[in-house]
Amino acid sequence: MSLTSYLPIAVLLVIALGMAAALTLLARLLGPSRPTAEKLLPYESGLDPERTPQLRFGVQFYRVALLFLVFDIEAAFFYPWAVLYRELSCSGEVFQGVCQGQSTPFGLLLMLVFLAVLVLALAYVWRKKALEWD
Amino acid sequence: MTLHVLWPNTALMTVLAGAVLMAYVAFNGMLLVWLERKVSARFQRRLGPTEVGWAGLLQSAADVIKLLAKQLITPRHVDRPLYHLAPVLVFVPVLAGISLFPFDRHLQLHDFNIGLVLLFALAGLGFLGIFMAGWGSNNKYALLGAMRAVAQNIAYEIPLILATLPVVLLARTMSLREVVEAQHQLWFIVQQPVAFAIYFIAAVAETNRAPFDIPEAESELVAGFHTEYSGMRFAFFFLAEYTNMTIVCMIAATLFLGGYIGPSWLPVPGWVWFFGKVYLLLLVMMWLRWTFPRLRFDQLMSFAWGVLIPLAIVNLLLTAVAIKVWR
Amino acid sequence: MSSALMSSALMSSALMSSAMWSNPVQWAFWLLGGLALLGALGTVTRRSPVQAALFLVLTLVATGGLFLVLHASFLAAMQVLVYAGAVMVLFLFVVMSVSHTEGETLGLAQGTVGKLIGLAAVGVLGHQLLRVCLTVGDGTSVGAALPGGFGDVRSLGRWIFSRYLLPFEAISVLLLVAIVAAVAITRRPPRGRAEGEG
Repeated sequence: MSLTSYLPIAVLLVIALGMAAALTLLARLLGPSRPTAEKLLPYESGLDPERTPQLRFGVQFYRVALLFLVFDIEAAFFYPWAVLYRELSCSGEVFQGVCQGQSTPFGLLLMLVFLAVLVLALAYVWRKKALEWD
Repeated sequence: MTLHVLWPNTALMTVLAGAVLMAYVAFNGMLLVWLERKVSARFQRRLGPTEVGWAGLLQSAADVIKLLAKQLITPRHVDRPLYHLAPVLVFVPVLAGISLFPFDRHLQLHDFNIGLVLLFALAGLGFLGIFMAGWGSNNKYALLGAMRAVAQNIAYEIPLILATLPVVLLARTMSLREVVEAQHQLWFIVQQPVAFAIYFIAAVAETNRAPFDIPEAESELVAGFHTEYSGMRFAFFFLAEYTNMTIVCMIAATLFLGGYIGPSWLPVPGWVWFFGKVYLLLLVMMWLRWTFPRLRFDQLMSFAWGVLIPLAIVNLLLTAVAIKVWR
Repeated sequence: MSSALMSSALMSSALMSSAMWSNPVQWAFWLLGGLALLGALGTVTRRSPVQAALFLVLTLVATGGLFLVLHASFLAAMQVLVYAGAVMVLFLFVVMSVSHTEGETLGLAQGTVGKLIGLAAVGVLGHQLLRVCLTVGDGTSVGAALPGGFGDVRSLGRWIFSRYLLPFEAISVLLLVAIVAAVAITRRPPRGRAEGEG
């Protein structure tokens, strides 16, 4: 896994950026530019906006974001576990997905412990009705 | 990773492949817009576009020309850097994501051994553009739409990720090509129907499509986070949305439907199978749009956290136990 | 801002290498390190909280790129997925749930106390930076003789699930505490006192 294998992604990002810039420029050249005061107002279904929007969002959004963060971190650990699961559940070598030695419950147990705590967290959130929107 | 790749890793070929993919994304966007109009029309006993080209096939091309010739309005009081950058930032990671797939056995730019998480990492950046558009527009509808979109995206990203894990468990790899190669005997959808269902529902929500389209609920939020965008800038959001749909369907085809693998007795090349599966799934997404009414926001959130995520966790554990029992 | 610190430490260690521009890895390193620093600078100088947050994303993504340079591909993906993805959502939602009027700044580094705290932080970080620079070597040997599969998800997983098994299991408890705390501090007051909430 060398660094150069990521080059196509970088190249593609540059191409995408270039195309975005080129198309916007093209649209600017081709399209008319006749701004009027009305056009430049924020769109509020026909009414003139009285003030700039100062919306404050409920704290539920914060809770959801934190829960998301926690589960994202959890998923980050799930991936290596899923890839290595057979190796972790086997006392010997794993050859083409088949365990050559004794089967052990290690792989399952270590994730059960990890998951049990998180299920507890999810249950707590439900119990406290913290995900209800009103 | 001894499988060889059709496109060698030279700089020129990389640029060429990038240009081809870019062209495909543009073509695919136009095709899907046309398809969606046709399918929607048929569901509503209409004909859809018929005038421009055969069966209206050139309608999308006409639309692109129209969008190019439209005035680019930048409303006053927008946060200019954010407002200008948002459409680009929505669009760029999506394009990079599409380069990761194995379209055929020997048709892939590079097979990363972390292909799957790379896809999710790129997809996770998409919310930034949406948020910038909502915040930068200085518009109530845009900001509300962006907040809803982001909250929904993060809520459904978890079941999406959890539903792909049983496949990783079965295939013992995150390389997209190796996942496909592990399905020669049996497509993973047969072993993992629940995971597929969870994945697909979450994928529809991730792309903000009906019945999960409250971020841009026309009846309350005008157009959601891209309310203040016009002309080509709006087109970028549109293109990103359709490319995103294609990507989630490509993931589904790769992980659950055997990717480029089809019945071996049929003399059909692999990429035909791959794209056939992808467009079939896209048709299902359009079908869903006209079948289910839009959910309320609280229903949407509790469905993700209360139904999909617990179900995905149980499914994952059952898969792990099953592998343990039957090896 | 630890990522910015890390990148600058790595950068200065590379500065000392003589064969600086000989290979593309060095180029990638300097580009990404520069972007990370640029993002960090933007984060602390922007007045709009959302713009500052977006500069932070630049730093986080560039740090992900630095992980790639160090052959840690899975960590790079996780850096982008968890930090640039999830942590940023959290930051932005926090920004959205506190009041923000036009022209108002976050006001964290204002006043004498704030300046003193800032100065102390700079001192600590500077000390760390110097220490790392002096001990880390010239960085030219990176990538020379790494075992096969170094930094990929398998080898990383083998470490996590053997030597670092206890920390790994402890993380779930940490995450539980985080959730409980979040629910506790954001609990809405009993009805009747909840006036003026929007």
